[in-house]
Amino acid sequence: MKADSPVVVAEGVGRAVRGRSILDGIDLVVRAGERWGIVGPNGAGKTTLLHLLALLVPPTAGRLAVFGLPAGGRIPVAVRRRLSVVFQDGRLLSGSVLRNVALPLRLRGVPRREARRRAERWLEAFGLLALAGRRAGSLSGGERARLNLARALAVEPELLLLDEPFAAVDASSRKPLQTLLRSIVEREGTTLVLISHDYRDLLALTDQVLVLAGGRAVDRGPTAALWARSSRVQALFPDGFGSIAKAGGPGPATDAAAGVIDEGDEGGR
Amino acid sequence: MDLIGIALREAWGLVRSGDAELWEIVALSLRLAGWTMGLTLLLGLPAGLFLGFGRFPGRRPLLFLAHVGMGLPPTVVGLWVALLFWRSGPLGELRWIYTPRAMVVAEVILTLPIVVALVATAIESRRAKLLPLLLSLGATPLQMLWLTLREIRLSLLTAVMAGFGRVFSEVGAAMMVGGNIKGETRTMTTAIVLEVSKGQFDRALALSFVLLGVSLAITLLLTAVQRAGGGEGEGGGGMG
Ligand SMILES: Nc1ncnc2c1ncn2[C@@H]1O[C@H](COP(=O)(O)OP(=O)(O)O)[C@@H](O)[C@H]1O
Ligand SMILES: [Mg+2]
Repeated sequence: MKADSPVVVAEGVGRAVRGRSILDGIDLVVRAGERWGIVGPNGAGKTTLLHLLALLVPPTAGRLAVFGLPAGGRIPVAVRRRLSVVFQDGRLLSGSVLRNVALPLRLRGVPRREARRRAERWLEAFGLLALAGRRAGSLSGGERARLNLARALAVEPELLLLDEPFAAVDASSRKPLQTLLRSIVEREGTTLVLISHDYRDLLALTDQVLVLAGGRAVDRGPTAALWARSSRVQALFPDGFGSIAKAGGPGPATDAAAGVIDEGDEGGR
Repeated sequence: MDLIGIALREAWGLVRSGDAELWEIVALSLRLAGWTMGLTLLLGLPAGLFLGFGRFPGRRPLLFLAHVGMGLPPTVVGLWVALLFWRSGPLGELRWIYTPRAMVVAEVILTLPIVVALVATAIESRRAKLLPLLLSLGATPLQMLWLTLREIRLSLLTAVMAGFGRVFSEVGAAMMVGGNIKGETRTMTTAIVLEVSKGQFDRALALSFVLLGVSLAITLLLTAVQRAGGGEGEGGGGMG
């Protein structure tokens, strides 16, 4: 995709569920190769916005186009295949670690051996090759987070949408993972939208930040400059970069511990 | 009590001697269960998928109906199906009464709700997370269907095992619709009832052991299938 061409164009985008407004009046243009962060208190609508950008739910107000395609209608699978999502709860499929990474390649018609070879390469990059044969459900939180990232990147997406991908990663592994992700995204020119509860993630990986609160975009700007000038952003992180104030609605800070979608999962949240 | 010892010896004798009548009965029971589960899956899988994925009015009542159906008394179903195929009944022309065909119809009615309810609830409990994931992985509708079936395969297997269990264990419908005709519609359960009514407890007990053995063998087989199925991916284990 040509640099500078818009990947996401949102004009006054809103989403309401059963009459209740979750997002309202979001304007956002993300151009190819740009790296955006999204911050905001719990319940601000960050995940909902990401799902909108991922073409998983339609907007109920405003206009949204992803890769030039208006959201809301039928989405061709070819368009979906240009983007990758890491969900906040780190969803994995049953079967092995390798299967999870190879599957999206297989779905795109990559021959079995080639898919396997490429999956193994990505597992290696994320330090998971030794676990390739393990059941995905048996991984620890940190391993799961890396598997989700490896799977999302293996299809070489043009647009990468990450919902708190490091939430379950412990402090010492965070930095190397950021560095790895940064190098891949830079090398591939991937357009990135990253939600995080840790401003250091945003400083390491993004150039622009959008601040959400109560379903509205309340501030935006270059990542470092925004931190310096926005009292709103600083108020979100009273203890420094790393912890977010419980200013928002109810609900757990993160669902990252939730697991593989398997037979035991009563899901349906 | 010596009866059990005698029965065990008798059972072993029957099995070892390859008693023709016994194997006829076992073979018919297996064929009946096989046809039943084949047809039940053919009908129940699409119906369960439809109920699990669909969002339409009347979905809840239909699912409730399926759950109620899981507990339908075989004798009642047997009576209805017998009346249906009775010579002067609405489908009497077919001349299916007292044939394995009519029995399959009755057994399908008994096992269909199990498959529909288990498939539908398995999908219902996963769809909220699974569908967005599969969409985001770039699956086509057909691929989503296949992958969903894979994710719920444990529930599918449970449904098949429960279905086999029901066909093998029920006697009311098989008796009423099949008529317990020797060499034609006599199953393991109806044969046991007959032996008991004749006072032949040893033969009845022998048959009961064979029935237990067959049930166990099928459960073991299906469990083995499940184990093997777990590795069909890219070299990984079974379900989480
Ligand atoms: N499908 C839904 N139905 C009803 N309410 C929802 C749904 N999804 C999200 N919400 C509500 O919308 C608000 C924003 O949710 P979310 O986008 O998950 O926020 P964040 O990711 O910023 O924590 C929350 O109050 C949440 O309860
Ligand atoms: Mg969220």
